[in-house]
Amino acid sequence: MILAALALVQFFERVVHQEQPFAAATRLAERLGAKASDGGDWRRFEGEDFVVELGPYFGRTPQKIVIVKRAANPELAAAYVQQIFAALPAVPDPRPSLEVTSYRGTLVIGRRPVGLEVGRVDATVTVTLVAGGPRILVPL
Amino acid sequence: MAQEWSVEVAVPRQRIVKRDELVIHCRNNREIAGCTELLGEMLRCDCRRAGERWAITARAQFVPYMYVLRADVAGHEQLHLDDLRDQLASYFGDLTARRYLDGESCRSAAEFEMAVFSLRMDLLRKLSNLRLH
Repeated sequence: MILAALALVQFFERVVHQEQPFAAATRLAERLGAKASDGGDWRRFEGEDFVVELGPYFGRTPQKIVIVKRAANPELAAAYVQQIFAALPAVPDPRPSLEVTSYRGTLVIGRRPVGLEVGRVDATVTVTLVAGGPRILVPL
Repeated sequence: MAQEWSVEVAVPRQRIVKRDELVIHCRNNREIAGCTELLGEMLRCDCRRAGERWAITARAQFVPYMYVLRADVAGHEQLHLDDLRDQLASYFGDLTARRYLDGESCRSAAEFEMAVFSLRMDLLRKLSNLRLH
């Protein structure tokens, strides 16, 4: 389980350190060795305790990368969140607090804005990267 | 003369998901039936001469993507998109009607509007929720 978490953090770290993270995400996700499924304009990679979903695709590039990690307990989930923030190539704006359970901000990668969302509910952590900057959500 | 403003909204894509997926995509733990995310949102502003003064031209675009529990929910989400488009029309109408004494002050105002566009869209989204819920 800890190895899987490390692999997931490593995947995230590799993605955010690419010059074009969204263009590289599919290739990097395929290396996770997870069960892949395809929904037309999205692709999903499922492991024992994680899901990586890419999409919607515009052309060959996903506009969003969602990483869901189910940790063994809330403490490990909190530690995973810290690892995610530590893996970033630059400090996002606004600067996240140490004990964050819900975060929404912006990163700049290769001079382009990338939206970053991190949410933790109990032992489940969802990390979302959005091409072009933060997404607007209209709930119903 | 260049068109003063335009809003380009792509045809909304729709995806039917289960509730546990909805919580992830919509970032919401409440009992919601769906959400629309606006991706690729961008505002491009330029300045042009308008007689003795300067004025802003604006071009906005975004791609809506709906996550819904059932297909019939999409109709309501479309109302939000129409409402956002109406609000943007009003905002751009005001913005492009303003006149500036010189090109530099016009460009400063244009850069400001581009920088805060994401915040403005968030505000319009909140107003849309107040209006339609």
